[in-house]
Amino acid sequence: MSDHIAKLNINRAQFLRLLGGSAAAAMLPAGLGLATTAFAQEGGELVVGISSDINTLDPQMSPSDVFRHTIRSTVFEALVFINPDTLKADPLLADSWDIAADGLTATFKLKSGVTWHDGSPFGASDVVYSFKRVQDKEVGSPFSPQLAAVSGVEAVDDATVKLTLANPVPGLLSNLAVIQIVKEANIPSINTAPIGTGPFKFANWAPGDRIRVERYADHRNAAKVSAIEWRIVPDSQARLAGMQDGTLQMVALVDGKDVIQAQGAGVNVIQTKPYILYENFNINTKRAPFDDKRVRQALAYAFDRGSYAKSVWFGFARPTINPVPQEMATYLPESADMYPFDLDKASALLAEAGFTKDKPLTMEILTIQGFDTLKSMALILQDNLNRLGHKVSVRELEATVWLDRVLHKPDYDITSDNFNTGPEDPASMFNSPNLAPGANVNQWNPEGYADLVAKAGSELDSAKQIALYQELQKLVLEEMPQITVNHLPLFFLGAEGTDTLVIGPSGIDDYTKIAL
Amino acid sequence: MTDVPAEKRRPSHPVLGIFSFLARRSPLALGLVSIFVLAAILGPFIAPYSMTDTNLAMSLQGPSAQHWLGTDPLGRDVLSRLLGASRVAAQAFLIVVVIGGVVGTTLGTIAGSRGGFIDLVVSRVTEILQGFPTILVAIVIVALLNPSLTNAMIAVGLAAIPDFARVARSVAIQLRDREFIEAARGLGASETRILFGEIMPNMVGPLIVIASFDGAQAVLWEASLSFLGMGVQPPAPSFGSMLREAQNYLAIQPSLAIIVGLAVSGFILGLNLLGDALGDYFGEARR
Repeated sequence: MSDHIAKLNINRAQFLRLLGGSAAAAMLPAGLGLATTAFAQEGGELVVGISSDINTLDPQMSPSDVFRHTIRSTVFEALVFINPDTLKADPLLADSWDIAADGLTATFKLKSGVTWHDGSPFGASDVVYSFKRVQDKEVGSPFSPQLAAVSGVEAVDDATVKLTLANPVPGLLSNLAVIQIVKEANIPSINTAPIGTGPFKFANWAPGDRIRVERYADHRNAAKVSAIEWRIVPDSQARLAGMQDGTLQMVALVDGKDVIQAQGAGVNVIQTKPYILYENFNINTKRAPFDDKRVRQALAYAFDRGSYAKSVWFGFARPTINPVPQEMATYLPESADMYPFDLDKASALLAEAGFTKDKPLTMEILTIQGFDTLKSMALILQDNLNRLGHKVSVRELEATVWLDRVLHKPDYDITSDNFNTGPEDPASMFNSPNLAPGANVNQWNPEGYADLVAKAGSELDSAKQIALYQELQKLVLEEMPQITVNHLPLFFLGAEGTDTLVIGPSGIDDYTKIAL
Repeated sequence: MTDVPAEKRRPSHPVLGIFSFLARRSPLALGLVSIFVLAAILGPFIAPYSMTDTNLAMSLQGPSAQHWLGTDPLGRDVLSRLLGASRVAAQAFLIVVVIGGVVGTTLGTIAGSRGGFIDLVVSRVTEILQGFPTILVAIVIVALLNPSLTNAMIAVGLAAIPDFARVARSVAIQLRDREFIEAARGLGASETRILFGEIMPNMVGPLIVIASFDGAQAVLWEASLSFLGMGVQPPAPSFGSMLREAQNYLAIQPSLAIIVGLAVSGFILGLNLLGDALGDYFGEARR
């Protein structure tokens, strides 16, 4: 009798586990890829749940893949790695470097004995090729703004690369940290069988299902786990259930409700500094009526950032309208609270631009499948504008379709989105796909903007640099090409042993220290 | 013919007859379906709140005096949204039954009463239609057009055609050589008149039974497609999209999933029980 009672006496976490597990089992078709037996055993295969697929395996083409860090953190390497604690560059493929006093040349000594996954030796010519490929207009790499000031790359000898710069670039190392080195002979097949120098070699990618990499034993800093497999599990509850029953050892990039539910169920949460990511609405500023800045400003007033952070993010988000976080020296003081939630003001601005109840603004907000907070953002903005009498619809798209409509062939009004703040370098944000003058998601490039970005990026005097970046922030906040909503840490859920993951600020992490 | 007392028990009007039979045979079915029919018709007028107005300060509340069934993650009133979702489900029911019923019955009746080559073609075509998995057809149609209730339900309606066609055909085959049809033909009635005047009225019973089952199925398909984001588009509520939202917050606000789950289960259960009871009624009537 007492035995029976003891058996019934489960605690809250266990009860929730039962609840979550059975619900997920009921919701998940068998084909979704969650095997019922635990995958990772001793010796360590790391199985990570992610919510959507990647678009390309080419590390020089993928900045808008939310899960680009999968391949970029494991298969490929850049010259340097941004340390998330110091926000400074640590050596990676480069062993040491020397930047001339005038800031116009930089010389990199490469690590010796580095080999590609096919066994061939890595050398300076690979670096030269990779930089030239990023700069090649025909290739169209979205990382080209990072190398805009680089006027020459040459291999001094097999282990030395010399960069010539058109102007000094204070954030040079941060820029180089995202330019990953590829092998020329591998380019034709880089999207099916990429070859890198990283601690893991590519094994396979089943689009929509899983990505797998395996330990490269000859790496100078060989990883402890034998393989990493990312499973695409769009449903957040299923990912949490996977953590609880052991099918997943880690879940990458989760949101507030997942963190709360994971904590309740006794799952570890790994998080970064609180300002690594920002959420925003991108606006297609080329398309009428969004080419009118009053319409864009009205949208900024029509979103309640504070309540959104409190309810949808359970307080884990920090509301702001300025994508530049206050922790950065270049932050424009007092700017985070500009454009407070004010539907009257939104209505008035829209009326000025010619949109009223009788002549409503019709627009569609896109959102990406698998990102619940981005969908909530869209629904909240939709509701606020519809209450003013406008006609707003929300459309949820599969990630690759979304990329096509937003980035490749821009055909959208507004989309909710998120992007790295790039706290290691003030230039990073203004060279990102969201704000780079040459080509950005918002299609926004007013006169003088490109010059200002270039000038700020090459200013060595820190007081002058801060002034220039504040001017840029004023411009962005006045013109409102995108509506920033908050700053966020990156959240990962991890089983025992995975807290040694190093989450880099620029979308490149270090998985080598993880031991299960 | 001899069981006169049984006939006398039934009220004179056939619709009243059905109701009184259902009230005796399956009060639960009648009750559940009535609740949802009333919700669908009166929903917008009796909802305590707007079904789309968000109120972030009040998100994820449990049931309370202010919000009888609680609020969803964006602070919308769950009761109001369930009323709206019932209306959407009822629309799904109607679209599917109209498409399946009109097209299926017409095809089946023609095939059954004419026979021969037409019958062969119709039978094979309906078999092919039946061979397609409904959800796949629905997903393809929604992907080609746009996700919306109507598009999703057109797909489900197509899938319902074979059910109606087969029943109509079998009834038509049973009837086509019966004396009263011969008599009508002898009196010079045209084939069309025989179809609509003589054969179709005799199909009403079995078709109503099929309609209630296929309609219940349609409600379920609508919920499934909306669960996947392919049915009703936000902010309009639907059982499926509400369930999906609720599922994401299972450990934070379990009452949300329980309430929405109970609502959709109740609706489907009611329709299925109703179908069973109607089957009994028409079975009895035919005897």
